[in-house]
Amino acid sequence: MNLAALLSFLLFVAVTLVITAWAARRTGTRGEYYVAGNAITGFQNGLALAGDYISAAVLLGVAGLYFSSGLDGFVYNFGGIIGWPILLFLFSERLRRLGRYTLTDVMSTRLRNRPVRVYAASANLFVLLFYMIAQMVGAGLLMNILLGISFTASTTIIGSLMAVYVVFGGMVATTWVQIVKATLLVLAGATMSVWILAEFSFDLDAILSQAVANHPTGDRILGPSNLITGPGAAISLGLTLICGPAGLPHILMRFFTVPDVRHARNSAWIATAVIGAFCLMMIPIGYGTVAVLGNNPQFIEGPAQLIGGNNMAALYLAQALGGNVFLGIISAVAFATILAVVSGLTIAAAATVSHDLYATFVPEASRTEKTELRVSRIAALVFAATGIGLSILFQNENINILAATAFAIAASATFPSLMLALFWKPLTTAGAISGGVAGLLTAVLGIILGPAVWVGVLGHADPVFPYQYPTIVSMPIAFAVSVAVSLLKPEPALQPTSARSFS
Amino acid sequence: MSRKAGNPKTANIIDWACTVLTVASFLAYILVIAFWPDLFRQPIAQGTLVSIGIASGVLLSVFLVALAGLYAWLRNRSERE
Repeated sequence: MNLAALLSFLLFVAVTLVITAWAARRTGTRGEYYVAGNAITGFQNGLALAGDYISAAVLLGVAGLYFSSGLDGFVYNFGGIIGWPILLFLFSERLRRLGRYTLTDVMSTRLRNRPVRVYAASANLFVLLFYMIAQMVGAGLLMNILLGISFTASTTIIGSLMAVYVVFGGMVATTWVQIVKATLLVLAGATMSVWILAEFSFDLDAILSQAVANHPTGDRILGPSNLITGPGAAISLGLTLICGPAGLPHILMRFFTVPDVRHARNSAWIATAVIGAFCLMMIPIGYGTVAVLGNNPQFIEGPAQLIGGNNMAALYLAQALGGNVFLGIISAVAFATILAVVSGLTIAAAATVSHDLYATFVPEASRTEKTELRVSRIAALVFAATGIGLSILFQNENINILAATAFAIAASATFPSLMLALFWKPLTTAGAISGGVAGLLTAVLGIILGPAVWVGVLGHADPVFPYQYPTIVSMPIAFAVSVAVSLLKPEPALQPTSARSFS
Repeated sequence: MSRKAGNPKTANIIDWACTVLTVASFLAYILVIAFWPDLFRQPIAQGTLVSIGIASGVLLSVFLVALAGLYAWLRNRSERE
C-alpha cells in the first residue's frame, strides 16, 4: 500500500466532507439543491465545468495513449477542447435563458411537457449511467492497484462518498468539490510538466529525441498512428468529440448554476481555457512517459507495454520523477477526479428523476418542494447504489467502450433533439422523441457491431460496422428522423418562452 | 463593434461564424490525419523533432482558446452597453 496515496486521499476526503457540511447549511430550497441558487460565478463554474470534463479516463487514458502511440494522445486530447467553444457560441446563452433546473426544462419550453420529459429523462439517465459505470470501474481498478483495496470495497467507498456529497450538499457541494479537484488537477499537471521539462533541461526536443529512441515505432510517434484509420473514422471521431459534450446532461446543467448569461459565457470560456491548458501540459507529460518509462524495466513488460496496462503511464511517470510521495499525490488527484465527476453525474441523475419525472407525474396538490427534494435525495442514493452494483458487474469490461458509449449516445440521442429544439421552429414533440430514439438505438447498435465490442469483446475476426464511434451514422439518422417526422405531422405550436430560442 | 454585437441578428451571425470556424479548423486537422498522415510527421524545421502535427495542434488550441475569450469578452461587453 502506498502510504502517501492513502494520506493524500484521506486529506481530500476530509476537506470535501467539510465542504459538504458547509454546503448542507446552504441547501434548503429546490433552487439551492439543484442549481446552487444560481450563485456560482462564471470563473468558479468554468473550473467546475473543466473538472467535469477532465475525468480520470482523460487524465490516465490520454497519458496511456501518448505512451502507446505518441501523437494519437494529443489528437484525442485536442479533440476534447473542440466541444467547449461550441457550447460557448451556441448553447451557453440559450440554455441559461431557457433552462431552470435541468436540460429537459429547455426542451419542454416549446415541446409538449410530459412526453418530452419522459423521453429526455430516460435518455439522460442512460447516458449518465454509462458514464458513471466507466468512471467507477476505472476508480475500482486504480484503488485496487495502488492501495490494495478490493474492487468491490473501492467502488463501495467511492459510491458512498458521492452519495454523501449529493444527498447532503446538493449542487453547492458538488460544484465546490469539482472546483477543488480542478485546481488540484491543474496544479498537479503543471508540476509534472515543469518537472519533466526540467529533467531534460527545458528542451522539448530532448524529450522527443529520447522518446523516439525508446519507442518500438521510432519517429512514427511524432505523427498520427492508428487512432484515425480513414476519412470515415476521422469524421465520426470529430462529430463525437464536437457534439458529445453538448449532449452530456451533467455538463449542460451547470449553465443553470450561474446568475446570468454573462456568467454563463464566462464559464464556457474559462472551461475552454483550462482544458486547453491541460491539453498543452500533456505534451511534455505524454512524450515524457515514453522518454522516461520506455526503457525502464521497472515499469515495462514488453514493447510499448506497461505493467498493469498503459493507463498507468501518468502514475508511473509520477513515481519515476518523485518517488512514492509524488505517486501518492498524483494518485490522490486521480481519486479526487473520479469522486468529483461521479458526484456531478449523481446530482444530474437525481434532478432528472425528481424534477423531470416525479414533479411531472405527481399532481401539484400532492407534492411540495420538500417532498420533491426528498425524492431527489432518494434518487441520488438509488443511483449511487445502482452505479456500485453495475460497476461490480461490468468490472472486466473495457472502460473506453463504456465511456465511448456514453459520448456516442449523448451526441446521437440528446444533442440532435436539443439542437433542433433550440434552432428549428417546425420541430414537433413526436419528431424530437422519434429522432432521439432512432439516434440512441443506432448508436448502441453501431457500438455493438463495431470493433470495440464485435471484435474486442465477442471475438469475431472483423467488425460489421468499421468505426469505433457510430456517430457518423447515428447522429445524421437522429436529425433526419426528427425532421421527417416533424414535417410529416406538424403540431400546433406551443408558446415559446423566448424569441431567442429560434434565433 | 461591441455595440453591433449586441444586436440579436449580428449576435446570431457571430455565434454561427465562430462555430463554423471552430468546426472547420478541427475537421481540417483530423482530415489531414486521415488523408495525409505523413505530412504531420514532418518536422517543422531542420534540426528539431517537433512535428507539424504537434506544432499545428498547439497553434490551433491557442487560437480556439483566444477565439472563445474574444467572443465572451465582445458579447459580454455588448450587453453591458
